[in-house]
Amino acid sequence: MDLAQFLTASRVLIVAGKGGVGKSTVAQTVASVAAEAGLSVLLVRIGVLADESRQDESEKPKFAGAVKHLTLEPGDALSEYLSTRGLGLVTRQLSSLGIVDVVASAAPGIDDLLVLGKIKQLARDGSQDLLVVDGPPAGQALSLLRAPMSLGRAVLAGPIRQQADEVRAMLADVTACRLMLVTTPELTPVMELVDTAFDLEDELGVHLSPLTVNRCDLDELPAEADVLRQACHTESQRAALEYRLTRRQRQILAMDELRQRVPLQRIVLPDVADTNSSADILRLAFINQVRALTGDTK
Amino acid sequence: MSGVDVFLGTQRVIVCCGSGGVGKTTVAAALALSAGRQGRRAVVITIDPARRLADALGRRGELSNEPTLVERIGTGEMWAAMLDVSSTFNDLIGRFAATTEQADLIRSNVFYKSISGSLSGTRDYMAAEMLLRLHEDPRFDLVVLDTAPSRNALDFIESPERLVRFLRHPLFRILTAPSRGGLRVIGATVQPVLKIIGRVVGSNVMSDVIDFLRAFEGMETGFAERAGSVSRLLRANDTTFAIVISPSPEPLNDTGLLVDRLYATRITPSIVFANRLTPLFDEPTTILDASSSNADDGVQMWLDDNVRALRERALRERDLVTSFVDRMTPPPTGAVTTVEIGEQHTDIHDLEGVMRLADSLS
Repeated sequence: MDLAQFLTASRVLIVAGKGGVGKSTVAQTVASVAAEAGLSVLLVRIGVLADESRQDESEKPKFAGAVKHLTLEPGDALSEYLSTRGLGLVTRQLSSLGIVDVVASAAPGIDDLLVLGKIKQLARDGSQDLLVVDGPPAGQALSLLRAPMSLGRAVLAGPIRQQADEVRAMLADVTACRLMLVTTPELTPVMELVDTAFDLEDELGVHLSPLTVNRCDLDELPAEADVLRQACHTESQRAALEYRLTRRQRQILAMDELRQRVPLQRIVLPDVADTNSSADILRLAFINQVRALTGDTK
Repeated sequence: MSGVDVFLGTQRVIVCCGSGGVGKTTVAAALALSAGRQGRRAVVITIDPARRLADALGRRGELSNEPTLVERIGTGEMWAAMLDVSSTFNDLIGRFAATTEQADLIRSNVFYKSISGSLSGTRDYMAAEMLLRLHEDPRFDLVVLDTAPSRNALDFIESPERLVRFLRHPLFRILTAPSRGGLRVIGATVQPVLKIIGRVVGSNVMSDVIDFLRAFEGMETGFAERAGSVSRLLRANDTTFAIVISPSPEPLNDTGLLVDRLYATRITPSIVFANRLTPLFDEPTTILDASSSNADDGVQMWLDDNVRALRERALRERDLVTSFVDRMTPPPTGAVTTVEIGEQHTDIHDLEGVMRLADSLS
C-alpha cells in the first residue's frame, strides 16, 4: 500500500477529536499531503462559527496541487435542501413565516443529517478523490453522526427518511467513509477518545482509520534524566528541565493507556511551534509515519 | 482580595464559556471550590456530555441532576451536579401539567421521547432550566455553570427565547386550534402547509408533533414565563460570564467569535481565565565552570536551549492572551480582569487536582 492508496482507502475521511487537540491542523495536514500526492482534495469544514481567515488559505497554494475548501453551514441546510427539491418558492414563503424553523425544531437533528447528506452527495459525484471533513469536537461529533439514526427512528417515510438511510449506509461502508480520531498525548483527551471510539463503532458501525496523536514531544534527550539533573547549573535550567521531564512522563502514561485500550494504529506528530514552517514539518512527519505504517519504502 | 475573590464573594451565578479542551470544566469546579472556601454554598453544574467534571471530581458515574455535596469547608460548601436532560424535561412537564393524565400523555408521545433525549437544542434549554432551578434552590448561594463548547454556549443563551418564539408561533396556535372547539375553517387553510411539511419530514412526524402540541396545550404560558426568568437571570447584575481560554490560536479564534456574539445578545463577560500557560522561566545565564568537560558542554547547550524554547513558547502564549483580551471590547461597567493559570503538573482527575487549581486562582 502506498501513501495515495492509504489516503483514498475511503472517499470521505472525517477528522474528529476533543477541542484543542489540533483537529483542524491535522485535517489540513491530511488534505495537504493528499494534494501533494497528486490527489484532488476537498477540505470540508462544518461551519456555524466559520472563520473567514481560514478560508483564505485556498487562495495561496504553497505546494503542487492545492486543497479546495468548502464550509457547510448546518443552519442553512434545511432551506437549501427544500430549494433543491423544487420547493424553492414555497420554501421562501415558509421561511418568511418562520415555518422552516418550526420544522427544524420539530425534527431536531435534521440540519446535521442534511449536512452529512451534502457530504455524501459530494462524495458520490466522483469529482474529488478525497473529502477531508474537519468535524465538530468529540461530543458534538457524536450527535452529528447519530443524527441519521435518531431521525431514522422518528421519521418512517419520505425523502428525509431516505436521506437518513443513505447517510447511515455511507457511514457504515468502509470504502465510502472512515473516521480519524485525533488526540494529544495527555490522559484526559485520551480517555475521551477511548469512549468516543467505542460508542461510534458499536452504535453506528463507523470504521476508524489509524488515529493521530498530535503535539508529541519526540525529541531525544542528550543523556539520561538523572545525568541532565546533575548537570543543571542554574535554577532556570533545573525548573525548565523538570517541566519538560514531567510532560514527557505524562506523555508516556497517556500513550500506554492508548496502546492498551484502543487497538488502532497510531500516527504520531511532533509538537511544533506555531511558525511559518510548522505546516511543512507536520506534512513531512505525517508522510513518514504513514510510510512506516504501510511499509511503503518509496 | 484578588479580582477573582471579589467575583466569588459577590456573584450569584457564574457561567463559564469557552472552546472545548481549554479546561473549562476544571476551572468551573475550582471556582465553586474557591467560593466554598470563602464560606459560600456553591454548586457547579456541567452540561458537557463528555462527563469531564465527573472525571475531575474523581466520582465517575456518581454525579446526576441531584446535587451531591463534594466538600464542606468550614461554613462553606461545594456541591456538584451533572445535567440529565430527560429527567429535567420530565420534571418540567410534571410541574406545568394541569393533571397527571396530561403529563403522562406528553411523556408517552413519540415526538416528545425523541426531543427529550440527547438532541442538542433540548439539552441547551434544559441546562438553562437547571441553572434557574439551582439558583432558586435555598441550599445554594452561588451556581457555577460549565457550558458545552463554544458553538453550543450560544445555543444555551438563546434557547429560552427560541422556545418562546416556538410556543408563540402562529402555526403552533393553528395546529392546536381544532381541539379548542371546532375551528374547522382554520384547519382548512393549514392543510396545504401541513402537507408540504409532511412531504419533507414524513407524515407520521407531523402527526406526532400535532399530538404533542395538543397534549402540551395550556402549558405554554408556564414554559414562556420560565424562559423569561432564565433570560433575565443571564443578564442580572450578579451574574458573571467568565471566558476560559487556553493559548492556542485555533480555539482562541472561535472563542473570539463567541465573545462577539455574547455582546450582541447584551451580555458582557468581565473575567478571562487564561488556562494552561507554559511557565515563564528566567533567561538562561549559565556560567560554565572551568572544570566542565566537552561532553558536558553539549548537555549545557541542550539545557539552555530547553529553557529558551520554553521561554519562547511562554512569551508567544502570553502575546496571544494579551491580543485576545485587547480584542474584547471593554464592557461599559469596567475593564476585563485577566487571571493567568499555569499548566498543571498532572492531569486533573481528582478533587486534590481541583484543589491545587483553586490554590492557583487566588
